[in-house]
Amino acid sequence: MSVTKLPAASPRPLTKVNSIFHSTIYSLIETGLNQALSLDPGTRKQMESLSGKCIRIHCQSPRLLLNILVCEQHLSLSANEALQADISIKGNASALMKLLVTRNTANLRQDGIVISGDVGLLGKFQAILQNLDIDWEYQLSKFIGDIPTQFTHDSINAAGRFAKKTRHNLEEDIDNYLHDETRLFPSEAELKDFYKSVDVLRLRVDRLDSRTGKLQSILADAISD
Amino acid sequence: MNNDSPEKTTHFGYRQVAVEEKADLVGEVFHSVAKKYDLMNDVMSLGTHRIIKRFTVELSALRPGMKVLDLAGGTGDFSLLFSPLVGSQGQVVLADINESMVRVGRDRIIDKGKSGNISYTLANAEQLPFTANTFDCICIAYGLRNVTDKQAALNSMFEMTAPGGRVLILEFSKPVNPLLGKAYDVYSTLWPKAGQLITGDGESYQYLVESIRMHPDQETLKQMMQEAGFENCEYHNVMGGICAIHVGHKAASR
Ligand SMILES: C[S@@+](CC[C@H](N)C(=O)[O-])C[C@H]1O[C@@H](n2cnc3c(N)ncnc32)[C@H](O)[C@@H]1O
Repeated sequence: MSVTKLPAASPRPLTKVNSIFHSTIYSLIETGLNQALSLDPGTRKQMESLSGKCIRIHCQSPRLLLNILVCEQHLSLSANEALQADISIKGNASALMKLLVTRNTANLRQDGIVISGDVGLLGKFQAILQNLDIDWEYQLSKFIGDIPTQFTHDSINAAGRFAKKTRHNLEEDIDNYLHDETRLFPSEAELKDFYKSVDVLRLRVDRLDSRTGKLQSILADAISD
Repeated sequence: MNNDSPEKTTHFGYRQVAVEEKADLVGEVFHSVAKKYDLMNDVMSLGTHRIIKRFTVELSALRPGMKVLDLAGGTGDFSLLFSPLVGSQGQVVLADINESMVRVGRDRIIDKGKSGNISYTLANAEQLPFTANTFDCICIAYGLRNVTDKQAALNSMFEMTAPGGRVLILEFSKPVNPLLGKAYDVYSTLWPKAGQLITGDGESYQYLVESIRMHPDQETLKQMMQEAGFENCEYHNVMGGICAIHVGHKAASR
């Protein structure tokens, strides 16, 4: 039995990207998302075909790594680079938010968003993530329990309000934009151009990630054994 | 333990006890604290133990269909977190040396209606009763410091890990900043009193304080993992090293 050394993707040194602080935020968001999902059988059903798929959101400013993994009817958030993603999106926070909130794939290039992997998954993930209404305060008290709730109550509420407000503002902006700027709707040429560059990018990423792919098949074999 | 005297002894906190006796004593500790364990965890971790646990679970890199061992799983916190991740096609095994802990864990999990993919085994971490190369992830949280022969446990965990899989070890560790270390030391001297108040059992927490101080520090544990065969071993200090999460990988074989 020969031993294959693991490719760099899996046991890469643990980066500063994942920390207990990210975990705290992610757990709040995750609980909120799953809570919202529990009230939405339609979306849950829709998710099932995505089970096992993982989207990685790589925010460059602020630096943040977020994996969203679909586990049957449940979403799992993490910041672990060792988790293999099926599609990966890179960009800055506002562009990523715009993308995830508006389902607008047309401005990717302009916004400096880079997508790799199975691009077809993007729309499906967007559909799931959109318009989930989240009761942050309730989620927090449920998760953190009694002791620190008093401490964090106010600040998280503020954060929640901020997030809501941000989203609200963003939605308003987008609304205005939609009404004022017909230019938002991309021309067919632009779209074609975009898809072409995505394809080129995908090929390049595929090549770069061929070693990662090898690991995936090794893992898959190990699991099915 | 490298003790060659005919009467083999081991640490039970600061006390030296016969090796066979330790398993019983450890058992007693967890019998008496099983129910109020959660509240004490809040006290000891300044309310952060749920987040630390979650952070550990994030490092598992688990996904639907995988197999995970919640070793020294106790009341099942980790099993409950792993269960939705691996889904109905996956498998969670809660293993603990203490029958009453397994029972409490199982009851809790059934109460929460999450029993679908979780099974339960009475097992000693030093000699795991599974088939080699089974688990995509083995997680031992706040359990290793209670194990008598830690190296034997790590070796056994390595054997049970599937090629390409990983092990996670969450344990109290050594604060990196001496001032924080001192402060935490002082704070931890309060646990037996808190334990007495909350669980009516101060002695158990006296044991915990002592066992934490006896536990190998970050680098030592990392070396022990490498010795067991794990590669690319790394650790995360949490709360400045009050806790540490070690991650090790078993090479994918072909
Ligand atoms: C502090 S509890 C941790 C429980 C759980 N992992 C958690 O984080 O909530 C430690 C557990 O380790 C178990 N334990 C102690 N020695 C063990 C051994 N040699 N093999 C397996 N489990 C052991 C105890 O029975 C106890 O349930």
